Amino acid sequence: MALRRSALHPVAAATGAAFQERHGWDLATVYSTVEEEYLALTTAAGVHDASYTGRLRAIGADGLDLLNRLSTNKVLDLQPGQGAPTILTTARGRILDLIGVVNVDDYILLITSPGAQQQVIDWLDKYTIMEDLVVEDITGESTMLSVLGPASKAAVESAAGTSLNELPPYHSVTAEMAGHQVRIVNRPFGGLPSFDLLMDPDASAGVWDHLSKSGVPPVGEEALEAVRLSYAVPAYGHELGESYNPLEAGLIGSIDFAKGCYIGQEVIARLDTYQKIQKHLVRLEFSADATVSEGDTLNDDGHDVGKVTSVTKLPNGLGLVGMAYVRKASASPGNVLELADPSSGQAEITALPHLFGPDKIS
Amino acid sequence: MAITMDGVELGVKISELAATKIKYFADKQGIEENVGVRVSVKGGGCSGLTYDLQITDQELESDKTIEQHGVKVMVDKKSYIYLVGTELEFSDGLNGKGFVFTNPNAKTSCGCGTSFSV
Repeated sequence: MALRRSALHPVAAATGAAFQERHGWDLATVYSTVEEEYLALTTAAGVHDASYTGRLRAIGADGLDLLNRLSTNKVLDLQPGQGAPTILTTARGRILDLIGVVNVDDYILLITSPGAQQQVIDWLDKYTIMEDLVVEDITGESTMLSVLGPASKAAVESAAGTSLNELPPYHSVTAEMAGHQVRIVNRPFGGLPSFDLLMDPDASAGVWDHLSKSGVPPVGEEALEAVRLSYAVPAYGHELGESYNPLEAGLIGSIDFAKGCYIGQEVIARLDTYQKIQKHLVRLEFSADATVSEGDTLNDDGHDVGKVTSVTKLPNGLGLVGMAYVRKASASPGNVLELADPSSGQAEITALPHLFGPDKIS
Repeated sequence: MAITMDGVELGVKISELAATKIKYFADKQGIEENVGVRVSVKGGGCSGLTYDLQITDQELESDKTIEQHGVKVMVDKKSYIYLVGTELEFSDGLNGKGFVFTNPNAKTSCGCGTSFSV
């Protein structure tokens, strides 16, 4: 099947960017160098063409009501401009996908993980019985740019000529950028500020150029993946999926324990009440001599305690980092685990990440 | 129109006590004639699907209606396939749960009994 391409693909190709298949898309992996791009993302700001991120349009009077009944967070009362992260969970309390629900007035925008659009649509369709709701995939109808980095807010404010001070996470506003209408969604990337810009594909080259001239360099997939693991942001297919529940994945900050029933609620509430979580997602730093691949086993005192879910080498000599699910008894920051054969070396747990904070909503 | 299998009518049944309670709630809403209850299924609840009850005297064209114990039980066509053979009862008393569904289509139910999966 032909790979999908963003409207900015020709622009990226003209700059000599390297490309690779990811999520069924032909994506720019590096524009300048991974080192420069990583530095921009972690010390200033960079712009990433995130058009491969899933976007769905939910239309119908019962959209928020149904989403509220099917997912972990309270989304029932989201007013135009407001949004929230929530998790669609199975009846066993496992993660179907972590999605962003954004009320954009005309419809409800659902931001899914890359490639998860169809399974989210199928899941919502399955439970749409009497409800007035139609969900369709609009991923190809817009361009989505993510401006990430400690200075991303200032960069977007400057480019759009508007203040984002009153924009909480997952809330959105519309603004004009380089003469084009853009919807700005505040969607932090773990602890790193990040703003999504949604626009008509025809506007994307103009906005991209405008940001570039404002000193926001383009960043590709490789630098973004390094930043993802540096900031311990779980990703669908690695740390998120039906093998895990939201509490293990450190997503407690997007679970509302007081809002009432949703699919999987009984299981999740029980796991929380009786502290029955078996394992937890951890961030790892590997020893300099380590050889490790995704899926490799981690041992603690000779016992198998977990599996590596992601691994990448940070640029600028910052070492080899990754994420893993590790049994609760061994999942403590500072604990050093051994990599089991065929890997070798050690892995130190540096954090138990909580994507939306460690506190529960109630 | 009721659906039958081997001469047995497949519908949603209500117990006499449930009918009495429905009439009581209808009366509180000012409905004295043509008392009915619309039984439907919505997505949600702990197990995926959840029951919904509404007191009404308005029958819809899309409803399958059976009158029992002086109460019209109206089931929307879309919900009907999830509810065929279901019995609606009323659990009274100190630890009573109110209206209780016994649904032969439900493979699993949640602890409180208001949600099920098929």
